[in-house]
Formats: sequence, C-alpha cells, structure tokens
Amino acid sequence: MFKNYVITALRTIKRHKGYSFINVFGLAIGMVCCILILLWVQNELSYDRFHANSDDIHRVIKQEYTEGETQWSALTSPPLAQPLKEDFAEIIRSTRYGNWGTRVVQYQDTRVNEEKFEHADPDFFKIFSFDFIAGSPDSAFSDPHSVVLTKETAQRYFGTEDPIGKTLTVETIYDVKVTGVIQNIPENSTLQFDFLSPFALLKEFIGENNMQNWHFNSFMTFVQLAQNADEQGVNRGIADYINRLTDEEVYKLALQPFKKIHLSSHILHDFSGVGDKKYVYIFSALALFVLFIACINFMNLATARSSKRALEVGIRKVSGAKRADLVKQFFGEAIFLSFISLIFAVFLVELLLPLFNRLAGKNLDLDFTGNVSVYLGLLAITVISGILSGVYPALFLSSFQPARVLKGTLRAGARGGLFRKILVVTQFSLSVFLIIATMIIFKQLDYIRSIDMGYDREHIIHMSMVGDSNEKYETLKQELQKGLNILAVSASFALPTKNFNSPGSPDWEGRPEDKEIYMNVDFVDFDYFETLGIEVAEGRTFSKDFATDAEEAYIVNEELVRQMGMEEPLGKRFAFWEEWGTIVGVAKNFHFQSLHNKINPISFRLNPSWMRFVYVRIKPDDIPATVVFLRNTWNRIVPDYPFEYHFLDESFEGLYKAEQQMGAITNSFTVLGIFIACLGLFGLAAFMAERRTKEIGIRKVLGASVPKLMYLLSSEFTKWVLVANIIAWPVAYLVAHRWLQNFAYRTNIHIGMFLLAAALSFFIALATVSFKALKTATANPAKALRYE
Amino acid sequence: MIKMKEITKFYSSGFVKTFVLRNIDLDVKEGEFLTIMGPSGAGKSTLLHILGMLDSPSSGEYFFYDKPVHRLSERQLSDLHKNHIGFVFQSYHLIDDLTVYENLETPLLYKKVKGSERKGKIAEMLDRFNMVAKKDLFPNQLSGGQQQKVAVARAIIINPKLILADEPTGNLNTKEGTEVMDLLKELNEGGTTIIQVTHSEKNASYGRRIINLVDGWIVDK
Repeated sequence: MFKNYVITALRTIKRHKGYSFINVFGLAIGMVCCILILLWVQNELSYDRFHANSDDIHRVIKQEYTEGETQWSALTSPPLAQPLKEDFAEIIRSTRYGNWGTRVVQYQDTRVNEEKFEHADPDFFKIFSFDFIAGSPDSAFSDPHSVVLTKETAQRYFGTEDPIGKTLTVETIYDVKVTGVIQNIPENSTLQFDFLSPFALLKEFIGENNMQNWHFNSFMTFVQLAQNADEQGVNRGIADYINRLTDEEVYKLALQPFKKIHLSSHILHDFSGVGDKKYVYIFSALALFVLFIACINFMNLATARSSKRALEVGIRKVSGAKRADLVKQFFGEAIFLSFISLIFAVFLVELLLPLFNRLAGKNLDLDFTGNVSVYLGLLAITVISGILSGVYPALFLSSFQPARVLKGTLRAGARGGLFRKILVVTQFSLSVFLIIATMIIFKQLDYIRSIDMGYDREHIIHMSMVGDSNEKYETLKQELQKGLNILAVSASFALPTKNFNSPGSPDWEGRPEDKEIYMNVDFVDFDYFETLGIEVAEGRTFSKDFATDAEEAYIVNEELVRQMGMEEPLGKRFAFWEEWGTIVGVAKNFHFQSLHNKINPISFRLNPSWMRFVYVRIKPDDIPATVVFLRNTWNRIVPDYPFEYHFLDESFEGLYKAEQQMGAITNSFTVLGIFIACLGLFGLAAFMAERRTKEIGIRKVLGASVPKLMYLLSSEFTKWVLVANIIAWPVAYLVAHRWLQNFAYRTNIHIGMFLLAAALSFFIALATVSFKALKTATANPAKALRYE
Repeated sequence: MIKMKEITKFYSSGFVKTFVLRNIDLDVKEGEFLTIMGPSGAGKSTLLHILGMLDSPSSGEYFFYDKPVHRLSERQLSDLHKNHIGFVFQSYHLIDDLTVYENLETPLLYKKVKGSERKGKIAEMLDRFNMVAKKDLFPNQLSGGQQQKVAVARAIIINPKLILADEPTGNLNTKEGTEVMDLLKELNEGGTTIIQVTHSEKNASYGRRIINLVDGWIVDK
C-alpha cells in the first residue's frame, strides 16, 4: 500500500511540474527561514550553558533610584565580593569581574591597544568553566602580576612559542607574567576576554582607596551558590547587606541568575553583547509566518487542483478505499513533499549561512555531527510543515462522494473556493504585515540617524588615550591644532555617544534633605562643547579667561536643572563628590546615550588628568591626508602608544546594531515571504485562468477586448488583497506601536506607510496575476472552445 | 439478492425538490443479467449508484443479501461493497498515474490481500484478458477498448457477486463494444449477477430482463 502511495505521489509530482515546483520550492524557502532562525534561537538560548555550574552562578546586582523609579545596575563595588563569601554559608565562591578601560600591552617591540583586558579573582576559574590548555586554574592567579590568555591571543603575541612564563608589559610599566592559556572562548559566552589578570592588579590603576570604596561601582560581582541552596533565602539575606555592613543607607542588592543575563537582563550597565528575548520571539514568529505562507501555497494549490485528484479519489473509493485510507494517502503525500523540500532547504541553508551570519552578526553553522537537536529540529520542521500543508487537502479531498465525482457533476475546483480565498487573504495579510513592519523598523532607524542628537557627529574623529598617554595631552592638543584641516580639538573622560558614568547624586544649594538625583557625569577639557557642537542654553562654556574655572566651574544640562528645580541656575553652588563649585553654564539637552534611554541629568567639570578620548573636528575635504597628519602627530608626541582612531558617527551607529540586524533580517524574511506568497498566487492565477478558459473563449467570441478580459481575470485578486490590507493594518499598527515603546525617542507611525504597503501589495499581486491573465486573454478562443 | 422497496431520491435546491427516482420497487435474483434503459435524465445512473452503495436514497428500503443497506454505517457499507460489488464505467475511470498492473492492484490493496496472493490474482487477470505485455503501460497509452478491459478486470479481480456497468460501451467502437459485452455475458454465465445501464438495444439484448426508467418511474413497456 505504502509503495502504491509513494508511486502515486512521485508520478503526480512529475506530471504537474509547475505546481510541484511552486510547492517544493516555496516550502523549501519557508524551511530555510525556519532552519536559520532555529539555529539562531538555539544559539541565543545556549548562552552561558556550557559552564558546569551554570545553574548555581549568580551576579550580584544593585538597585539605583532615578526620580523615584528604581532601576537595577550590573555594577557593584570592589569590596563586596570577599565578605559575601565569608558571611553567607550558601555562597561558596565569589569573584569580581571587570576592566579599567583599554590597556596598552607590549611584547618586545609591538604595542597593541587591548580592549578585552579583564580582571577577576582566583575563584573565577572555579566558578566558570574555561578550559586550561597550559597552566593550572589553581595557581594561575597566585601572583597579582600574572595574566591568563586565550589561545588566540597567545598565538597573536607569541606565535608558536610557549607562552607560559613570558612577560608582557601593561601600560608601559607593569610587567605581568603569562601563567595560563585557555581555550578560545565560545561565542555563546557572555564573558568575553582576551586577557584575564588578577583583580589585585587593578589596585595599580584605581588606587588602594577605591579598592575599598563602597561607592566605586564599576565592576561586576559573581557568586556561586552551594548546590540546592535556597536562592530566595540568600536573596533576602543580601538585600540590605551593605547597609548593615557600612551602617548607612547605601543601596540594595539582589541575585541575578547568570544564565538569564543574555536574554532577560534589561538592567543598567550590562555587557554590551546581551541579547533580548523579544528578538527571539519576534524572529521565531517571523520564521513561522514564512513557513505558514509556504504551507498555505500547498493547501491552496492542492485544493485548486482538487478536480484533477477528485477522479482518483472516486475510483479509489469505488475500489474499496475508506476515507481514512485516503486521509493517510494525502497526508503521506504532503509529508513526502515536505521531505523533498527539506533536502533543498538544507542545501540552501548551507549556501545562505554566511550571508545570514553577516546579517545577524553571528557565526552559526548547520552542524550535523553529534548535534541531536539539529536533527530533531529538522524532523520537526518537516513533519509540522507536512501536516500543516496536508491537513486541508487530506480532509477536503477525501470527503468527495464517488457518485458525484464519477458522474462529473463536481465542477473543477468549485468547492473550497471560499476556503481558498481565506487562505490567500491570510497570506497577503501576513505579507502586508511584514511589509509594514519592515518599513517601520527602517523608518525608526532612519529617524535615529536623522534626529538631532544635540551634538555633531560628522567629521569628528576620536582617538583613545590609553594609560599615561594623557599626560601628553596638552602638547598633543597644541600640535594637532596646527594642522590645516583641523578645526577644533578637545577631550573628555567619556564618549558623548555612550556616557554611563554615574557616580551618584549631586548636592546643591537649597537641596531638600531627601532629594536624590541619579546623575551622569563627565570630565572635559576646554573647547569640549565647541568641538562637539553642543549648544549652551544659558551662561557660558569653560573658559581659560576665568582662572577659577579649572577648580570650581560646573556646567549642567537642562534636565539636571529641571530635576533640581532651580529657577536661576547660573551662579548657584553645586557639588558632587563633596567638591563644591559654581554653575557657570547650562548646556542644552543632548543624547549622550542611545535613544532607548531618555536624556538623564548630567554635569561637566574640567579635569585634564582624566582625559581618555581626544576629539578632533576636521574639515570634510581630504580626510585621508588629515588622518595621516593625525597619525604622524600622535606618533611624534606619544610614540609609546599605538595610534587608533574612529569616527564619531561610526561609534554612533554601533549603538543601534541590534536594531540594524533586526531590520536586515526582517527585511530579508519579508522579501522571502512575499516571494512565496507570489509563487502561490501565480499558481492560483494559473489555475483560475485555466478554469475560465472556456468562459474567456466565449467572451472573446462575443467581442470582449483583451484589457477587459485582463480586468476580469485580475479583479478578483484585487479584492482579496484589499481585504488582506484591511486585516493587516490594525495588527501591524499594534505590533509596531509596541516595538517602538522600546525607544524613548521614536518615529511616528504614519498612514502613508500603510498606504504604501497597500500599493506595494496591489502592485505585486497584480504583476503576478496579470502575467497569466495576459496569456489567457490573448489566447486563441477557437482553441479554447474546441477543447471543452 | 437485491430487494428495493419504494426507493425515492430527490435533490433540493432552494425550495424546489427535484425528484430523480420515485417509488422504485426492484427485485434482482442472483445470476440475473438486468438491463436498465431509459432516456437521458431518467435516473438510470442514480439508481445504479444507489444499488452500488455509492449514493444513498432519500427514502425507501434497500436490502442486499437481506442486509438493510439503508441502515448500515459507512464502514459496513464500505466492507459490503468492496467484497461484493464491482463497477464498470462509461469513461473507464482508471487512475492515470498508475500502470495497468498497479490499477489492478489497487482494489486488492484496499481489501488487504497479501502480497503473493495479489501477484497471483493480477497475473491471472492479465492472462485472462490477454494484457500481460501491457501491464507496465499507463492508461493513456491504451486504446479505449483496452482501457475498458482493464476496468472490467479491475472490477472482477475481487470476485464480486454483482457487477454494475454504467454504459460500458458508450465510448467504444462497435468491435470493442462487442468484446466487452461478450466478456460481461461470459461472466454472467459464470454466475455473476450483472446490472447494466445502456441506451443501446443491442447491448440490452445481452440481458435477460429489461426495466425502463422514465422521469424516475419504472414503466412497463
């Protein structure tokens, strides 16, 4: 029996090549989307699961207050880790983790700015599972002046030489010895570093005082709980821990499960690469949409062609087939076809993976060896799409009554017409929805690019000052200013695109006792506001004409003034870190974080010894020559440090990487989805045209013109597309509205986009249908009528 | 073998009932060769379909070997008909995508006949109908007469007690038609009951009894 089915299925496919192609190819593309997303989702969900203790690892996070809103921050202070382990029996290990900016690392004559130079405590290697190739996790950190490298980093510095025992120089003065080499860190690890040194070494950079400072919240703290520990109990215990320890109201703590960081963190100051569960859902939905569209094609074409299969159904029933036999047969056919599609899909996936990886910023591969979940996933996709696409044809076709089919009273495709309409409308609704979604994502990205951030980012180059290179800053500035194409030079502690320095609440004259403000802060050089084009609302910027500016001038932003409730801010007394000064200017609000966040209060102060970024505003012409000038000048003044430069607008774009990736992926899926829908529509149009060949022939004989016939054949589809638009619009509106809530600053949803999506869908549908319609309408009527 | 009492069949469209069969009383004994004749639209095919359990009457009683067909479930009907009834149609109704061999095999598959037995039966049929050389051809590679022979072979491969033939020679030329009718006659002589629907007086002459159907009524001539 099975053989009989397979034979029938194969011969049906062969005999109707066009339909089979649409089915198989459409389904294959749908599967490609599903497989790619499955791989992506699998990767997202696998983050940090490779640590043997991953269930027991937690990050200690702290609560912050902003205008009565509580927010959690990933950063805690250095003295926290050690006593936690001592005071809580259930916390068996603890480590601090973090860096102090880019480090310059030297081996022999080469110096490199290293961005992934992290620090941690000796427990680190017991808590997390990073495999040592050389050295031992127990002794690697016994001396503060030691460093563990990843295999890749070790090769980068030492080539084939044995790295163990070699000495690297950090920041030109501190020698550290390589005590261990670990396997390269998997991509699905939240912790990513090239160098890991003992936290004790950080003392050299931040000072002994800050190592004990409970307010120096710049690092993360990870703990490992005992197995089966009472997590809730520990959570309650540590909530007020610092307040008890320091005997003052500081901040509250909580545990955050380590494996949840990647997808469900949403707290301040988190790792830059964290993902978002939202995108897992959005992409999964997207993939299912596309697969569903492909399955609809299958159902549609199968029912449209039902008249051709009806006879077979009738004969089989007369030959003794029960309905169940036929249901089985048609399901079997659908699943069989979806297996064929799967084979194509796998080939396509292998072909498209590099492209997808580039879009998604991942390094996925379809690994068949030993990855059971890949096989299960593929099997599931196949069976699901087989069942999904087979269910309607199976139930529909098997219901035919042989008496009517064999008598020929069943008109070709007359039945199931409504259902087919519903299916096409569904397909087009999904397509229109995807079109609108894509447009809104791109509009928002566009809006972000076009929004006035309050500072200029075109033609501004920034260079990092690592280590003690900022001691030469004054000389560097003077020399740079001599350049022909250089318009202005300044520097600051934080980048204006992403300033997350938040040392706490300021003080000011007339502050109510209990008023706290969550404030960001930056240390800048003269000309900072001028170089970056930040406007001043009131007062003035820092100026060398005022001798006291260096010591006590503050510039605050409008938001800070608003939150402090100051009427006349100029000349008012203001302080943070207990250093009192005077507000000399109010800067207009500008976006110093991504547009996901609102503009926070910020204050600026001069402090030449904290400069980390130099900004150079350049003339737009002959940029390469300017860069050469910058390089030469840099190498002359600070020869000890490598010259590295970035354009500020690039740093800006980096803030919206997730959205750009999402936009690119959604866009490709939309195109694929629409393409599949068009394939289906084409098939359906072909079928309809075929069905109406006689009618068209008669009309033509009676004198209908070709355009009239085209209209006749296309108008029905136009109606469907209209209905699809009406359904898709409100849904798209609601979803887009919710997505935009993620941005503090968002584009408006404009009716124009909906109209454009409608126009686009009409155009696509018409173009698809009219191809076949034209062929039918121009056919020779005599031929059509003779065959009937 | 067959007993029909007051079988009526109508289709309703809107408020109008269109009667196809009216108060049909019919007895058929085992071994008969019955011909149903009548003008187009008289209800001949519908009667045949009801006899073959492919359609159900709107009212009336139908006993097949004393079993009340009008009261049986779909499953029982299916069993009854796949074991006892063979069909032959005017337009052959072979499955286009299956070869002669596979077409013959289909009813056996649904009857769950074992593989070796199946092969034997198909070989016997092919031999009997002189079609061994054509077993791997598809229906559209055969002439009409050959196709109808395959259809007859398919109908009798399950050894039915009753063969229902709906204008079996309608699409055939005279020579082919005669061949098929001879075949039916031969089967009837072997004990199989045959009921045929036809327009042709010549075909009717093969049968031993004729009933005339006009506008859904049986009329005596």
